[in-house]
Amino acid sequence: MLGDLPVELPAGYGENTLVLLVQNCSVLFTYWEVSAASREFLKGKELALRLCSVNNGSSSPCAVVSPCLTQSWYFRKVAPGRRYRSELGWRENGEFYPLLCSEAVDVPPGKTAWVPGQAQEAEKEAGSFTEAFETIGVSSGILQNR
Amino acid sequence: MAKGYLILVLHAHLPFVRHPEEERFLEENWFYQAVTECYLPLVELFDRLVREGVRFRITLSLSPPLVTMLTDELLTRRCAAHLDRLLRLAEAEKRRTAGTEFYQIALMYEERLSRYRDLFVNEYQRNLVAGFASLQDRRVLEIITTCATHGYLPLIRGREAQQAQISVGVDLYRRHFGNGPKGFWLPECGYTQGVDELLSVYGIRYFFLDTHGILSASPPPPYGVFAPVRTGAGVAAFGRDPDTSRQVWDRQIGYPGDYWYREYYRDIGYELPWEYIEPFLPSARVRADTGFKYHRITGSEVKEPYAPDVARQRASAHAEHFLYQRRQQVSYWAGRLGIEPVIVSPYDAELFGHWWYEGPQWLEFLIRKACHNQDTLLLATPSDYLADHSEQEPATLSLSSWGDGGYSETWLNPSNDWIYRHTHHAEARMVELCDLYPEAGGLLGRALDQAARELLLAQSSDWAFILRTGSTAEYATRRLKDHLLRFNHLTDAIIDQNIDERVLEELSAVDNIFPAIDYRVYSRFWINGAYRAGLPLKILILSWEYPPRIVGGLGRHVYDLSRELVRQGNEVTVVTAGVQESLPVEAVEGVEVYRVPVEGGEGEFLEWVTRLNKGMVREVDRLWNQGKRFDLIHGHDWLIEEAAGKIAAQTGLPLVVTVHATEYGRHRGIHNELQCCIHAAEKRLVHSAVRVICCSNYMAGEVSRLFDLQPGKISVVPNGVAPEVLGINGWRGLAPPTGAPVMLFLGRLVPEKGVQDLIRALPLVAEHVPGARAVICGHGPYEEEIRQLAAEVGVAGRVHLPGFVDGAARNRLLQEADVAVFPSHYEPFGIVALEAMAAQVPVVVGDTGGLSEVVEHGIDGFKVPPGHPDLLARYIGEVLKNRLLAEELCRRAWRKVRSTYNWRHIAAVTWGIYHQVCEVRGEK
Repeated sequence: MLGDLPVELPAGYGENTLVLLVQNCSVLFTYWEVSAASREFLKGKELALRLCSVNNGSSSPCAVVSPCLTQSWYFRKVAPGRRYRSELGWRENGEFYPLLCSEAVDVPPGKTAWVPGQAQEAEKEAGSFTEAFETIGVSSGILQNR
Repeated sequence: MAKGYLILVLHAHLPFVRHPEEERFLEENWFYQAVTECYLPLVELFDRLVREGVRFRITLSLSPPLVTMLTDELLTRRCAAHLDRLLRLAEAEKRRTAGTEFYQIALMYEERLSRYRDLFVNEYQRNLVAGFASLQDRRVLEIITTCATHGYLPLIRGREAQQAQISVGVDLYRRHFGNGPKGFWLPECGYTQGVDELLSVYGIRYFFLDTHGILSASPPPPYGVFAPVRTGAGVAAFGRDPDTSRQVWDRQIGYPGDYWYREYYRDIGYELPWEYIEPFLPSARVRADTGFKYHRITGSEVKEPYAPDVARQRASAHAEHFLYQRRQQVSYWAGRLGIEPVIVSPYDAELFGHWWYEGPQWLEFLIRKACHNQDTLLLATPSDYLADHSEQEPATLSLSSWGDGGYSETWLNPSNDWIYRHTHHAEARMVELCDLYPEAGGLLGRALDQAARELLLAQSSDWAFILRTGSTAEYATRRLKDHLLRFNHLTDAIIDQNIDERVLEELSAVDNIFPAIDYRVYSRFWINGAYRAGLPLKILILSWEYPPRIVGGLGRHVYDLSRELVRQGNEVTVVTAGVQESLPVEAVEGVEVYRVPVEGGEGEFLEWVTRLNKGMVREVDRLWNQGKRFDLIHGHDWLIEEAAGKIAAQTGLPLVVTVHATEYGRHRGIHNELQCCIHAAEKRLVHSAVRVICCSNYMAGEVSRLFDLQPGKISVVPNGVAPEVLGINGWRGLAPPTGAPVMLFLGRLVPEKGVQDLIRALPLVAEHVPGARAVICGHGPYEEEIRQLAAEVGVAGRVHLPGFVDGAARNRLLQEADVAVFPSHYEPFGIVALEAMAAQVPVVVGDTGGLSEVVEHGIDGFKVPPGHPDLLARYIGEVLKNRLLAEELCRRAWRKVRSTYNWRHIAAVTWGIYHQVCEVRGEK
């Protein structure tokens, strides 16, 4: 019956997985799992995680870390508007060999200001907002939730 | 005459919370509160305005979980009981406050509650959805839907899983409101690439984005958020106006923070003695909100009593102010931009009445003032706007949301990032189970349906949101884990064929959302909103190659596609070039094949092609005169360009074109007159087509670039592979090890196939795997160079070049190979790699073009950047040495071959495209 189901989720599902997700226009998140066969394969090798910037099919590494004792990582300060993929692999004689590659993801371009013509007039509009706001008035209070 | 539009959008949503196991369950109170404080006041005010003859338009998004709860027998019964309990509390409060300054407020609550109780129980018979629906019928509301469980689409991985969220949401809408929804609320305004295509399949005309979602579009929209943009799939995207959000939402200057408004955080549920208040609380265990609040915000620590009349005046003033601002805005931007600007103001419906007690009053004032006191702007819905403005600026959108920071941070951060490895695994598993059990009924079907419900419930954006905010995190964690564990339990039981009916019944009773769900909504065959449902079509295929004429892969492709389309109930007619030893008319596995005789040899190739095309036109003309009719034409590659264009023009039928390869790509440029002619024919062909199919994203990019085609016009459908053609009828596993492992290459011997890399890698491989040898099959101009290179690097004795091999020999070689290596430098698709995967041979391929899309590194093969023999050697060596890993790669590859690259699937997807183009044509 329902009460007999386990109460905790499994640590993993026994399959090779490497997924890269976009958190915002400067941070990427990647998580992974390594199968038993791959763990065996990686035994004795120095595990490493790499982020690559992908451009027109060719990729260039931009960060390498040694992710001991973890199964996920945040890559910070990535470039807005660029495409990336993460790679999990091993280091040997200074070289990086990927065992798993994530799908490439597009980092959104970041917020851009919209300037339809002269900025001056736009400011004037903002002024009229404040003006009207003051005329009618909203006494200030702080909404803690939304 | 109005100068512009104001679109007010209310998004109403609550997570599905239903706990039959307990009489008073704390979190169910979210629903009872929202009904009492928001939905009843809203429906009441809309009704009142309609009765008074005020004509207005509001867009209301009702989430599927909310619709389900609003029509659930248990929950609505409990909701009525909740109202009764509050009425008893009002009675007690009148006694308690008698003679104090709070007495009038207690009276106000009693009067309101008894009115709402009457409305809910008597007038609406506990069914507010019917109330909203009737307002839609009276053209006051435009009700739209959202994802099935409010799943945040950018963090749902697979297309099938995203589609399930959309499809189930739309289906539930149809069940409650008749027609399909015109608009769609993206949960949290979360947009990610491809969502527009999914929405367009369901006939959705518009959705909403946050401001920057529009402003960061490419190309930059000339009118900012003051006009919607049109996405590649033809759906309109409206952007949130930042000023209106600020005025209502902003913590500092937002209206709801006005000192005269009611203070949300002073509820008697937390303040009065436990013995007094406990019987009226939603849970007998903890204190909670009752909705009885007696103070105003005041602006200081000491709160003054609430003054409803003054608050009402403030609501009126704020509505006036809001409207004044919008009119200013409309006038200003109308003049500045020369358009009729649209201002989109979307809000969470629960803000009105619950958080902002006076919100419904403000809304009512606003509607009245907008409809009576001005004509600068028109209160409209997106459909009204689109009816007046059929043309929108095209734009490509990227990821955005209206969450904190504008992207996915609220739902993906250290407090909740653990969720996704589990939901993503479940999504993939659900899709796979649909492949395994395409037609499950009975107990198995019910278990699959329930698994789909559990997965959808786990995907609610609410859980991740709550984990982020931290309040009631325990409940959200429990819900997430429960649904995932239930999903895992069910799917394990399905795979083990050991379904416990009692558990299933218990789950179906508890998580009873979407009673009509069809688990196949997760299937790759769920196309255009149904499981392969829809009319069979009559398809005319034009292809110069068809067996027995096999020049490249095209003939085989058309053969497999057409027979599979016939198996799926369609009528397929193939018109192709005649071959001497074959019949002019033939039925091949249900496909009607007409072979057009072409006089003269193929020596003068272009002239031969012209004669072929003339013959094809004549043949179709003849068939047409005999009364044969088609729904559409599907042409393959440039050789049939003239015929396809002529027949499409004469018959008015839509033309779909598959571009298998381009002349430019084949030759890495256009270098002579013949190539120039072919390139021009290709361009004419894709421009005369209503839809172009390419086999990979790589090819789609090439075609779009070369022929200046809108990306939205191109669909990517991969090539398929039929394992039985390779002599494979099931999992057979790796070849048994021998002393001399074989590396197999199949393909033309040209530099772009990268055989030279394999030769150079060979000595490096041999260092670690002593007996390793390469078998290189195929012929081509590069053969001699290959031999020389092998001699140069000292591996001539390890390289065997048997030349071109036929199908039987190829199958034998695949059976004996220990690894298949395709180190291409250029490859539009890479069918050979797929064939090796189907033959259960581990693959190491060049990380280029379509090959890159077929193989996932470390999952079902390895990919190496082209031109790196050292890396190639490394991965070949690893595959040869680690047979456990090699077998794992093969198993995953085999799974992929049977699902994604299965002809049954590919024909179904192609059929989906046919249907879309026929529907578009029907609409016109």
